[in-house]
Amino acid sequence: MPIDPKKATPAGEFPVATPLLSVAFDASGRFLLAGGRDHGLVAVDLGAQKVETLAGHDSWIGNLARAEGGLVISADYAGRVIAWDCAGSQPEVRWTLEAHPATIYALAVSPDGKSFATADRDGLVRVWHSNDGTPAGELPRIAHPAYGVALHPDGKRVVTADRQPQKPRLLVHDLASGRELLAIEVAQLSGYRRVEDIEWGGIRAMILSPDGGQIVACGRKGYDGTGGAIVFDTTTGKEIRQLASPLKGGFCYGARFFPQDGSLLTVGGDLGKGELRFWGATDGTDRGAIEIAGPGMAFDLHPDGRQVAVAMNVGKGSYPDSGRIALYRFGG
Amino acid sequence: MSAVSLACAFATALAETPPLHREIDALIGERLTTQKVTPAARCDDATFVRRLYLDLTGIIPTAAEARAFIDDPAPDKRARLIEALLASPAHAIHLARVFDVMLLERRSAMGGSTVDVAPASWRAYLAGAFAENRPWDQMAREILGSDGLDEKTGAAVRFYIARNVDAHQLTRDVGRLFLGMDLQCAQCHDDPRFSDYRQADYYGLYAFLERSKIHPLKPKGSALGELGVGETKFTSVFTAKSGSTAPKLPGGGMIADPVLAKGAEYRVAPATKERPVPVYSRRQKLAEELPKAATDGFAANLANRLWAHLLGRGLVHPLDLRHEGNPPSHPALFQRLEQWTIDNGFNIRALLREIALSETYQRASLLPAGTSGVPPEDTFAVAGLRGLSAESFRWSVLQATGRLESHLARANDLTDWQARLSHLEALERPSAGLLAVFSGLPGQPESGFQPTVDQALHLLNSAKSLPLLEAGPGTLLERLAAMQDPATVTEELYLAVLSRRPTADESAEAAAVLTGADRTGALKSLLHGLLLSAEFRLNH
Amino acid sequence: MNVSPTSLTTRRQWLAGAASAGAAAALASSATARTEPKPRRQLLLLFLSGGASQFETWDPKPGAKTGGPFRSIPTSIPGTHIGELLPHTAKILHRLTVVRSVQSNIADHFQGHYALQSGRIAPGYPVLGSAVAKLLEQPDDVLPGYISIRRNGPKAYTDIGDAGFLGAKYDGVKVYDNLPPENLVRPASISPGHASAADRARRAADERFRQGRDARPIAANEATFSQAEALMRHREIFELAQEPASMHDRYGRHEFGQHCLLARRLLEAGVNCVRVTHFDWDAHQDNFYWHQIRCAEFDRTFVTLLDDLEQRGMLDHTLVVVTGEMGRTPQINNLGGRDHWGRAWSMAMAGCGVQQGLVYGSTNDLGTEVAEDPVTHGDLFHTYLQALGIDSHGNYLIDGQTNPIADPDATPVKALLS
Repeated sequence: MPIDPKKATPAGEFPVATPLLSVAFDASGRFLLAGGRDHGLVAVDLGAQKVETLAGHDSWIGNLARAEGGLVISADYAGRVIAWDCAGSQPEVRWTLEAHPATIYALAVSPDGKSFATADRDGLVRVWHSNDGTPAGELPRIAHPAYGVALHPDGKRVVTADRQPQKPRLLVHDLASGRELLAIEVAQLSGYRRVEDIEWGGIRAMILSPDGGQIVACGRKGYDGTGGAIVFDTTTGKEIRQLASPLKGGFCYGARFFPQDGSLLTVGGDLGKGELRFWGATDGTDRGAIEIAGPGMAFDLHPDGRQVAVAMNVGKGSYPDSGRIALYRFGG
Repeated sequence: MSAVSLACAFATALAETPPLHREIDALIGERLTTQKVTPAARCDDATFVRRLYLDLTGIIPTAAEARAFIDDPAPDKRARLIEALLASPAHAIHLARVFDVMLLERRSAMGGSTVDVAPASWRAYLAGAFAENRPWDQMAREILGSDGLDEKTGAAVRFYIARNVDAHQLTRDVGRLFLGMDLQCAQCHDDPRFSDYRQADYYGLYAFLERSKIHPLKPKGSALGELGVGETKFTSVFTAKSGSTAPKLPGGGMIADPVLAKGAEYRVAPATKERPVPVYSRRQKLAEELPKAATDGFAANLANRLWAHLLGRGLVHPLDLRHEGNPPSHPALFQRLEQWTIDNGFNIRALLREIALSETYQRASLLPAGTSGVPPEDTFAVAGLRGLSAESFRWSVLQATGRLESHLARANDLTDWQARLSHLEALERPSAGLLAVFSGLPGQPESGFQPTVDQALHLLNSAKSLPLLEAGPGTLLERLAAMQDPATVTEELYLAVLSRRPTADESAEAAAVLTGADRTGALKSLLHGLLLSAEFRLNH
Repeated sequence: MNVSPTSLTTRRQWLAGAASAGAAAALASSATARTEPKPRRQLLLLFLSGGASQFETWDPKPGAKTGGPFRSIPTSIPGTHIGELLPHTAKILHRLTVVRSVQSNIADHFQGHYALQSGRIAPGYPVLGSAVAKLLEQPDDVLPGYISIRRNGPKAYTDIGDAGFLGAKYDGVKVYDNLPPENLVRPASISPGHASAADRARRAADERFRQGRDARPIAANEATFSQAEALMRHREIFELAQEPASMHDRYGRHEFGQHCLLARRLLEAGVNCVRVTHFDWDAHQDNFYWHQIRCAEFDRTFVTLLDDLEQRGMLDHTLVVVTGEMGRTPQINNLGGRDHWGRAWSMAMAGCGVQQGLVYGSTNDLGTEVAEDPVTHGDLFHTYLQALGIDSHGNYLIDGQTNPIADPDATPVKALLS
């Protein structure tokens, strides 16, 4: 049954002292972890309705993702990755890894949860085993900051998204050989300005569809344009459709397919106006949005598929001064 | 002739007070006396004819024009020349160039020629206005009120478009260029240095402008759209105090928007690819309210800028820093010029005429004999040595080398500014290098003589501009080649380049050089040397 | 003063070609020109245009809400940390003076560029390079006193400021993208005979025109031609290919590195002041990404430059100043940027006349306010001049008019001076 945004109901809200960048549920749905512009990882125990802050990182926590074995993986701006074991009464460090020499901008777990990939500011892309954090592969360095990474369900291909000036790219690589199989230039998401010769945009988030057949690239159209997402065919590189949100300004910061019906959810916005927007599975119809109080920086679907947690920021002017996690439950 | 007598009769009939140029001399003279500064003598005819041509037409006179004026025995020849030049199409074109640089400060819209208003239409708008001596308040209304679509005044919208309709930039520049006040410091806070620079004034002006948006036209150019809603809020970065404001002119009261029913705010509502047009336009309100005698600074700014155009320096200087910490050098004169400008309906030509008629304008740049040191510039005791603007330099090089005169001789009609302007276009490309190297920075006012090494290198070595020196049909060098007597040749050369006859020393030096085998080569070197000289590069 | 034989030889080579320019220098000299020879002092200004973040460079606040994601690292001064993006600089901090309490209160590019270089807010004063070119001028100087190196991209505010009332002679010659100024080579169509005849005609005309007139604009015209002549004679300074590949590698094969390499050659050749503009610190978006890129370039090149100047015996007579027009906000905006901030920020100096291993002033825990020893742009301007052996309380004396060299309301920061 398709998800109906109009039937979504608020299911809880948790204020966080610092602005947020990432959020993830654990496998049981009991814990909700959130990270952001702080060294502490926020752990919400949804069962006990208790919030704790966990130490382990000493930089901003930009990415979180759920892996197999009750793990949630977190990655920070200094290159450190931590696996949190969420099977017990509170999340505990399973292992810690100094994964990159530079800021990790992207983290993605494979569909089977057994491995995950990290990508950094210098274009290094590495793949690891989830259970112990040992290396499982590495791509030849890509020439630009990597803002997105995804592991294909075939277990062979790795897709990256970058910030190449004027022509941000999606690259499909063969992990074993390191060969580049396909390059897609996504000029629509460029925010290049000739004045200072800087790419201010780029593909800021990227996901694969559950079958691996589609790539969704998220970002912003132009230097000060509107957030948007574009869907491509993973094999041919052809553009399938553009998802144009009516919300002006800001970025599209993330996307996710609903496993049950293949429809798509994106998140984004700007300070004071954010959204979770729903798009039809086969035709990309705009099916409406849940308006949120600030830019949705990240979101995660509850393992039961019937709830979503979104991490957003609130503040005055253009300065977010704190974060907020909001939960919504879908009707039907 | 008739124009002069008419103007005099008019001035006499208007009031019993002495003409403005006498008042100028009296008020300037008063301060010279109290400061014990001896003014320079009246400049000679050769200096006057060059200065007046440069100031009123932007180009040095031809050799023939200079000679005719110098040799004219009539006692009223200066007044007649002022009248003749003010009425010439060259004057309208020159003022268009001056106001183009003043109002745009060499900006152009981001996005280049597809977005910007064509520079030629903007210049034509200005030249047309100056040709009919359109009053400045009317021009200001057109410039500030244009939405870019009116057939006659549409190009005036370039003031906005060249600034990308950036409300902050526009706020600053409307303040600076129309009111003589730089409110930028007030953008972030109440400037502690100048109590009359208020953040509220800045945002009051900003409120007039912030709803205006650029609207691209197909295939080229832009118009202005405007929103009908939106409140102006601001926060001081220093005190974190916030405020909100309705449109207001500096020192004036707030102008509330008329109350319109929700949904009735627009003639054309905002929509994709539509140019929104509100029922009540704040920008039109600005165009209505600002160009008025009652607006603080509006008349004074015009008077001060025209004064600076002829004297090289404002009574308030810099021209955009009128505030209590920077008083005018001659407060009574400043007030008098402001009032006169108002009384005479913002008549640009009339004010230029009066200033040019004054002895203050007609002083020599030679220091008075027996004085040591240069008197302070703000006494106007001695004519300043003013650098030629990039435009004047370009056209004067073309004039001196004979190219402009012979080119104009091929035109059918020179009495019409439009015909003249389009005829001149052919000379623009070969002299584009000169214009570029002498032009100031985009977004910066141009003032003072600031020769640079880049300019020196360009004048010495540029493959783009050196061809202008070469002999060819209709050039000075060709004309000189046809003359035999070295004295005649030298006189023609000096009149053509420096608008005066050579001194005995100069004649002798030239004669010595010109007796060599390669007379054409020697003449070319001499011409090049004179074009590099300070005397040529300065308006003195 | 410790001058290596290399630099002496170099200097002499330049002097050999100086004959014609002596007259020009004498012509333009003013009442402030002194007759006794001064020890050579030079200035190198590395201007971080757009405004570098103090948090990501000299004054890190790791873990603070305003601190950003980066860590701080220990430096060669025990107990002092700087941002992790400057690892090379951290190792030589004992050779620098860092000011962590700059309080210019200017949050605008245009005003900041002017104020941080002129030490004033009131317009019309010469910027640092022009002022120092004037104040350090010696009768035997051949080359322009001030050369500014920048990339050839439009950014109006980086060109703010000029010689003001000192006139065009002291205005910076602009070098874009390390290319020699345009038109440095005489075209084939101009014969040497023509060039010298035209030059004679110009000089004769200027000499006559100057009689009885304000000599300043006429001297300014003259100065541009003698400087043009000197640049034409010495254009090999711009031939960076003369530097070994290893030197290019050390400085960095990027814009800033190559510009700094040229700056060293210009200083070596006898140009008194050189400014190198390092662009694009204005990170209103992605401040942290962008500071990693900017700092990586700056860090290695800066340390190479100091080492190179030292090895050539130039550092003890060259003041190196690292500043921008402002700092960046403690608050981090919605797009991960930091905005304009003038209330509490940092700068650094090295070389001639300043302390080594000093960190001066401090900010509060969040970096929002100066906690100790505020220093204004006017104070910095005084301090630069004093470090160069110039009495900053003196006056320019031009045609009977005096004008204070530095803002009389500001003072040199004595603690910074060696």
